[in-house]
Amino acid sequence: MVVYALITRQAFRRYLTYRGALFGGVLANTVFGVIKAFIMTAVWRQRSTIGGYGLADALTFVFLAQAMIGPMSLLTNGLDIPARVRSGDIGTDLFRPVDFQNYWLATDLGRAGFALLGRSVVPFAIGGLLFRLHVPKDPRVWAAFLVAVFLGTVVSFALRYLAAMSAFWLLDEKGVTGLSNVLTSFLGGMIVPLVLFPAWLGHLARMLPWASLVQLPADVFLGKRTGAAVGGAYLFEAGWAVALLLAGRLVTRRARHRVVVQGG
Amino acid sequence: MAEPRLEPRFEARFEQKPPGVVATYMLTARMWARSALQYRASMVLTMVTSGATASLELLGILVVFGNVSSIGGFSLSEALYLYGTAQAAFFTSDLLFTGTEYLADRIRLGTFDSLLVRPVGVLPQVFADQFTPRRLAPLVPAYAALAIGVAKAPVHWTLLRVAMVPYTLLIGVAVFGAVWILVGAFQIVAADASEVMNSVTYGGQFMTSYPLSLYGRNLMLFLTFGLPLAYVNWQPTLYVLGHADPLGTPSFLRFAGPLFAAALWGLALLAWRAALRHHRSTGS
Amino acid sequence: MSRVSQPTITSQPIIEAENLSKTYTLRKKAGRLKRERTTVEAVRDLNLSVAEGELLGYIGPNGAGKSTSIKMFTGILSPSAGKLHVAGLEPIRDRKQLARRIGVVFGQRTTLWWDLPLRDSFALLHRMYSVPDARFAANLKRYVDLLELEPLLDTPVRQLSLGQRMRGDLTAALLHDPAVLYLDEPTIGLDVTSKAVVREFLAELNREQGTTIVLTTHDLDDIERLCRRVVVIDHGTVAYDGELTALRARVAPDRTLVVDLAAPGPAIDVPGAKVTRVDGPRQWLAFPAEANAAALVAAIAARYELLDVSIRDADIEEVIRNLYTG
Repeated sequence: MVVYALITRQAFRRYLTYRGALFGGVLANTVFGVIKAFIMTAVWRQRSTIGGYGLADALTFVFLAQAMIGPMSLLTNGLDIPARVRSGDIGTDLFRPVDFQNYWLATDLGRAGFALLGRSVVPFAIGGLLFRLHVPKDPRVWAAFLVAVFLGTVVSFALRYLAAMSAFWLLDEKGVTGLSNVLTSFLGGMIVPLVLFPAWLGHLARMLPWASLVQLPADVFLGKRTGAAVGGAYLFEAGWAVALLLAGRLVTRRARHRVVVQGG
Repeated sequence: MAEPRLEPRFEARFEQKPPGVVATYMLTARMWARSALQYRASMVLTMVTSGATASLELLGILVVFGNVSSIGGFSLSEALYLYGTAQAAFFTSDLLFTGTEYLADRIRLGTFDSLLVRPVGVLPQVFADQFTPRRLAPLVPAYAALAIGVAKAPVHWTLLRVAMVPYTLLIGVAVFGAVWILVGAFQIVAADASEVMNSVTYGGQFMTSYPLSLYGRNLMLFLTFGLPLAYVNWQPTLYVLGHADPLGTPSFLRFAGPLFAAALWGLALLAWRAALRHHRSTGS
Repeated sequence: MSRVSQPTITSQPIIEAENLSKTYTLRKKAGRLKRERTTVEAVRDLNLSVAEGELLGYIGPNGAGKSTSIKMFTGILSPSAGKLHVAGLEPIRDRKQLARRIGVVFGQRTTLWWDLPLRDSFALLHRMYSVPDARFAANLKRYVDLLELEPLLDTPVRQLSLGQRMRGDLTAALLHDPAVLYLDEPTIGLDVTSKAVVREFLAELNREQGTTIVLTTHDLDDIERLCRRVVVIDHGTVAYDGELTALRARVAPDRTLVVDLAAPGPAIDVPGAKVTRVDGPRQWLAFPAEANAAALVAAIAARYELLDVSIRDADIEEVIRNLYTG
């Protein structure tokens, strides 16, 4: 356990050294958030409530989604696995004493932690200055929200891990990771908030793992889920996390077998 | 050491004219395209994903209009027309000019200088950098949206309005093209901060896809007279669709695209030249 | 302005640098907010005159200003001060015209298209340099034959070995008949045979075509075998410019006598020579180049039992090192 904490901290530190490149990403997150916010304003001007959301809810959702881009790596895969498979370095990674999947999870959490501080706060804050957002006053809501974010990050890792592992079988994993990014964007609510989806699509989306990323943390943040319902959200997120991580373990085992058979 | 010759080489060299801007671009782009085609499977895959990603935004508009019947005074078909013009202009410019986006990498790797040792212009080589047929894919949903918009929008089609459609695309590509040059100049001078320009290029793509009236008066003013993205599609579209300009600008501005595009190109080329001078002076 | 240049049959040098300088201003962070400005003189008052048809060794320690000066010769970097003419042109002002008269080969980076057959890269250069068709065909045939590239023409460059790629790069740089060829570490990483091929090719190119060659290398065998004239760049300026043999004589007047004794023993004690290294039965002695080697050997043989003897000229590494530190 301690080892993983160290790995996470090391990843956090490493990304800290890249902080110079943050500005462009933060700027882009903010700009896109603002544009989306204007569009949502035009929509909610015509109907005061859609899918249980008022305008402030919708705008908050938009900026929460922008804030989650960094930690949950919503636009790119963010895992170095395919590059290491191509270069052959993955051979040493697979046979280290540290568990392969957990190693990458710990690294990703370090990266996510840094992204949360570096890329999430500013865009959301600027959104809050420019638009009227629904910001909870109760610190317990914030705490509950952060737990949901953490669980959502684990789910996002599990999804991206599965996509990245395709590199062991495919010469070019970009198709799979690209598809994964497309699904994440759409079903995560990055294109439009899920509440705008037609009922059937909205219900479907809420059953899929991608709902863990932005929608469920937003539910908590916006006070749409309180009390026991928050626990329900955690269960959903944790359930998907476990299922996807288990799938990941299976894939890892097959990958290891494949490397041994093929000689790296 | 050989007998010094009387320059047969120099004379032979000037028998034929050197390749101009377009020829240089075509030569370079063709090489890149053929390189990309060596990896056909990979290219097809990435075409599918980039086509899918571009289609997502289109899907987004459809979802939005599942809830309301108009945005910024634009009905669905009108919104699709506007969206189509922006996306088609952007992705066409992306196909032709995105090479400038890779300049930061080239400078970091030290491969920019090899472009300077060629007897042809630097900018056309840079434009054609990493040219790939993959960039054709997002044009499909873009032109699809445009086609639907043209077919369904309640437009009183006169000859002038019909001509305005390709005209809009042309000016749109020109405006975005100038932006790509500015991206290049910026990348030469500030290779580490290259991501900043994403907000202008992809942000510009996003903004122009929706009615500019959504963004409020100040932003509209900026996009009409500052960074003239309003001429990518908004101004001419106001004419085509017969909408009044919420900003209240005089109607001749609907056709002023070429002026602003030319001015932006002038600015961009000056910036490019300055950036090149800077690089050759400091070695970046 | 007509571009039919004056014939270089005159004494006009093909590379002429006069007090060439390049100064950089660096801004370094000194503390939280302040920025310190330091001026770095990468090239300082460099004077060089290269006649057409020379095969020049252009060497120096890393960071000494070699690549900076070459970048100025090729039009990549603008000089801060001084005059510079290459092939009758001003590199910065006439970049595109100059590019048609020069060829550049990098040892560690290829200018060939990675994923495409060799042939395609050559075809591109045909168009890019506007080489007349007949000329191009003749040149291509000549270099393909000389460098034995015929079986490789349809191979993607990424599948070529380092030696094969270098031969491809050389051809690519010469298809347009450049007047000056710049080479940056052309033999680096090559095996012995490939190195020999490249060296012989360059020698013949210079001999038969009269192409001026500026060879930058750390492989001093290249210099030994190819260049009569050597220019040493150190601290941004010319530290030595002249014949290699004279350089060797000036800087490292000692020769080395390598002696194999019958059995290991203490350092040989003999007048006129000094032991510099001992390794078992083998000893290295330094003695002045003018001294009579035969007499020295006889003197040693009189006192010690010798198995074998050989004489080595001053190692060029040593020569350069002495020059840099001297």
